[in-house]
Amino acid sequence: MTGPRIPSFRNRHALVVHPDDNDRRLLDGRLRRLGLVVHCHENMPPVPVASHADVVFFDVDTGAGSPFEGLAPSVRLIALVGAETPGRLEWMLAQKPGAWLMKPIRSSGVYTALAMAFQRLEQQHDTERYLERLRLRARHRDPVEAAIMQIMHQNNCSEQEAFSSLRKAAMDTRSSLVTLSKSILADDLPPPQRGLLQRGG
Amino acid sequence: MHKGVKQLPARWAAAVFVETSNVPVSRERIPVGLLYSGTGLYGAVGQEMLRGALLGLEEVNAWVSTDFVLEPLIADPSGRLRGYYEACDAMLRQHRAMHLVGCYTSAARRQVLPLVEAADALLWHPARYEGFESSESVIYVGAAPNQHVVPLARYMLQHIASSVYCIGSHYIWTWETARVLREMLGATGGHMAAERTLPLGETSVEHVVEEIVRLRPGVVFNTLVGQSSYAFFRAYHAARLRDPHASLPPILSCSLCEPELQIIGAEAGAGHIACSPWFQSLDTLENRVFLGRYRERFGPGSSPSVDAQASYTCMLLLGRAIKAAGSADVAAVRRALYRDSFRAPQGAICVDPDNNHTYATPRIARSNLAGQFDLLWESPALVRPDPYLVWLDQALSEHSEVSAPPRRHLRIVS
Repeated sequence: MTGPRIPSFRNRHALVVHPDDNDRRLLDGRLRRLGLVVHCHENMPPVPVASHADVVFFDVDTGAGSPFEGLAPSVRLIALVGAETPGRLEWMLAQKPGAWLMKPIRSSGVYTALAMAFQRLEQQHDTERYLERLRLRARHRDPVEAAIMQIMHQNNCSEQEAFSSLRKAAMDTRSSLVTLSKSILADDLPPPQRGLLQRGG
Repeated sequence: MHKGVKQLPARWAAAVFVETSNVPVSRERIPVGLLYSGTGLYGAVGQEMLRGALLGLEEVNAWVSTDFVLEPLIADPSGRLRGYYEACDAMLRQHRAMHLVGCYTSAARRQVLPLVEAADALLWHPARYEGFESSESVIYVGAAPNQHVVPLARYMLQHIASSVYCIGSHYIWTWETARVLREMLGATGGHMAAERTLPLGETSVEHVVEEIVRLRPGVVFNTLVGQSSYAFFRAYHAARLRDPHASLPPILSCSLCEPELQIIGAEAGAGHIACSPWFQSLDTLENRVFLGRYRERFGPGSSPSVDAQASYTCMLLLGRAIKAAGSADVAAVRRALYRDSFRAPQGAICVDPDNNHTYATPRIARSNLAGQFDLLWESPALVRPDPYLVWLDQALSEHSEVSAPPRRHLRIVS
């Protein structure tokens, strides 16, 4: 069976940005038990420092501004929520955390939040990689689509017919669709290939 | 210190003291934890609140027809969150208190909330707050946001101006109040001239006043607290004196109270507008009796705040509920409380069983040179608590509710 797997958090670095109180002490203890190396701070350290962490737990009650601007994309964010006021929750959402924990911190919940945050980041990276592939493909498709339009216009044929003749010409001349399409658009197609693209060719 | 209450040593951080006055042995002693910071960042406010609570407690203990006395457990967390946690823990576990009264800030309340919930005890919370909470284990006696922020903002938009300069301390109550204000401005076509925050305790406010002088907003909405607020009122007054023709607008606050007007100073504190369910100047029999007893107990110069009045009311609500239930059992007390209503100094009061907050009568008043407030408007009816502002859009459209100020109350301070 394939699917999400929860990694071991041993030796992962957790940065906890929260006032020094009971909640921070409890969270610190839970994270250490889960094998993480914990660094506690009252205020957000500079972004280059925070970027070394695998996961940052941040306080929503006292947070302000945009503390994570420029943070390495490999850092997972987990929000520590106290007051559930709309203003605070809006600020939390703006930080785009991968998971959240309600305060007071309890003996349960920390592991679930870690699992969520790590999984969400992987998912996010998968999605970003997929989007990048689509973007690339779309960029490459542009000349193909433009060439098809030109063939349709010149030969007064359907999109399907134009694409068939383009593909056939590419196969016959052993060139890629993109290369051939770019040549068509630049109007520097050798006569033999041009012949292949004529209606019925 | 207070009569009948043990003198507390200088360092009383997590210690809990038990009041040992002369109480007939035949009456059951019910321990009640009092969680107030008499020292620290907001010590002055905490002292007044403790006084209010003690006055209410003593009044309950003086009832002749009861078979119980409330025994106060007093601790001073000095405004430290850890102190609240430790004191609450000791009250619940060592002293087996099932009823706690107090907490001023939301941070303090949230610190003790898990302990109170785990013990299935009850916290009677006297201070107004930003809302968005409703615990089965808390009775919220202070105003909910729809009972102070919303009426003040609505009054402002209808009677003063719709161009607002917002200044507040850098913490959750300010952020949330400013958010509600923004929402109301957006819905009514108002305009936020600027929104500024200062760190808690900051007293360097000149640049804020200079900006207000430059921007000339129609009104200033203030959610600064403590020393920052006092410094701001004084600097604002100084700017008015420097340029009498500048006609700087009034400052609106949701937390300004009489003891603070004393601290700010008569002239700097006068002519500004506040919203609260209670002002000292409220002319009712219950309030006159309360003020008389308070001054008799704590000296003619003593000046209770709205939160001190709410602390007093908390204790009366608790005493009445225990009496009606015949027991201090939390479930029984809660049931009795939901059936109760009476006239507190702030007027008729009862608890909404849906959310454990109290019904209240919002009032808007203007401060005068005597350090008191002159009433400008009061809600024609009790306002149901809406801690999650579910009905904010409707509250906005209820234009009729904030009618023009009744003439008989108008005493403009020049």
